[in-house]
Amino acid sequence: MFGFVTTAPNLLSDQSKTRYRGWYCGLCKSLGRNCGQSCRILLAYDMVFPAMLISSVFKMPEVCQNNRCIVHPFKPHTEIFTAASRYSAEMNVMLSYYKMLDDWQDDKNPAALAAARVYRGKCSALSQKYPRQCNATAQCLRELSELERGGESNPDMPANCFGQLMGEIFVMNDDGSELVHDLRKFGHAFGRFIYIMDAATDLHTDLKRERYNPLVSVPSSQITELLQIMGGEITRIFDRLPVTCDRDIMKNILCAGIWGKYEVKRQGGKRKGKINGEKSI
Amino acid sequence: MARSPYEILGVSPNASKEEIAKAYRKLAKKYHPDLNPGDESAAKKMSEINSAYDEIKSGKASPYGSSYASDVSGSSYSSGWEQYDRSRGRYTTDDYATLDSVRAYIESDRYDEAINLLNSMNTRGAEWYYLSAIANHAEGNLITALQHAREAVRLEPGNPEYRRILMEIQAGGVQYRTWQTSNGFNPQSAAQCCSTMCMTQMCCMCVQSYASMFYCCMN
Repeated sequence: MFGFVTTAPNLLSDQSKTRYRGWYCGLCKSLGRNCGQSCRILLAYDMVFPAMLISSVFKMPEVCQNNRCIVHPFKPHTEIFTAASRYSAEMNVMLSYYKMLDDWQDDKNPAALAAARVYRGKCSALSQKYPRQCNATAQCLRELSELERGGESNPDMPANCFGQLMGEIFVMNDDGSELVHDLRKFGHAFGRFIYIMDAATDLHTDLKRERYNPLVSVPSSQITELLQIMGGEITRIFDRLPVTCDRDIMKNILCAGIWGKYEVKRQGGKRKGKINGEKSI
Repeated sequence: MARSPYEILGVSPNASKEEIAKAYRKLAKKYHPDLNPGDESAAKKMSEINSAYDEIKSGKASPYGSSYASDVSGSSYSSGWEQYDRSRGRYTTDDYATLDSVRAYIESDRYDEAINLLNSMNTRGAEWYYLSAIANHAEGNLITALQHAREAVRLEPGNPEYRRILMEIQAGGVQYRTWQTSNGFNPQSAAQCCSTMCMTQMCCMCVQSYASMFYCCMN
């Protein structure tokens, strides 16, 4: 489910591109600092979005640093840190860990189990720090694999399940406020969208390999409209959130970037090399 | 008598959930319209398979014949999500009473209960699909809501209420497209951007080879 939440850089100003890169580099550094250097390879673009959104909504103070790093040793670049980027880094590790466990349970992929073992210690520390998020993730992924195994034919069921997971991730501290309520709703709608987007992107591969896909019974001609309707739900809630900082970047992700993988696939793998390249990251 | 849904999927009525799902996926691989472009008979077969699978999944399938196949021509896969034609059944007095309770639940915003009650009904006509679309839309089950609103309109194209709920659901998509255009996005251009961004950024990672091994197992 990783790899969907990214920007469409050709529609971003240079300034926003630098900001986005700053968030990304900050997240990478946070991963190294707070979770151990070995966690930096788990870094996913997707987690930049929650970091930006939570920081913006709560107007969190930012620390900007100009730095070199192991990944870019020669070129100094900006790194942006907030409390939410640390949180997102930790959620990144937690989600990756559960994903690996899930892959092991579903496909008996030994590489996934080996990888999960490496991160078990980190994750048990995180589950003490963030019990709500960890329990929700474990439970939703369990339910999800149950639904997938049973071949659930109603796509709303697994989509809601994934939505619930994302809803908890977007809530950093649950203080019961109206804002938190809206963020959770946003995460829920966002998760549902990503789940269906992922299913739409993989539909043909899944059909050929006889794997579960919630959209098998939905006529393909309707899938794009379906995604747009779900996108409408996301942007409706987004417009309600008090987002000022980095609003253009987030809008770019929600209206354009998020379609990237799907559009590439839909245009018939003309850019196959790129897709594979992207996947292997 | 028409074939039972189990016969259509080629499984025994005692088959486990997993076996049924497996049989369904095998047939979908063979008949899905995307893998058989332009093949009308495959599309029709897929409709039949979807309906049979839905019927079994909803727990309402009888191991013997079913009345449904008699009316499969009513709708086709390409025109909408196939709803199996239990829908043609006529409501009994009890059904009308149940639909009234569903309406009462909807009016008092108890959508969850409305959906449960709807799912317990055997007869599904246009009104059933209409009410289900309303309740599911309110609960955020957008896919079901859209499919059911479409089905209500298909069964009774002249009903303005049914058209209204369909339009209301579709309005979300219209708003989204406006939002996209107002932010300078044109769906056609999407393909060029994202993959390049990811590539240039991520390729820089020194640990790339290790990461790729890793990411493959995560995906």
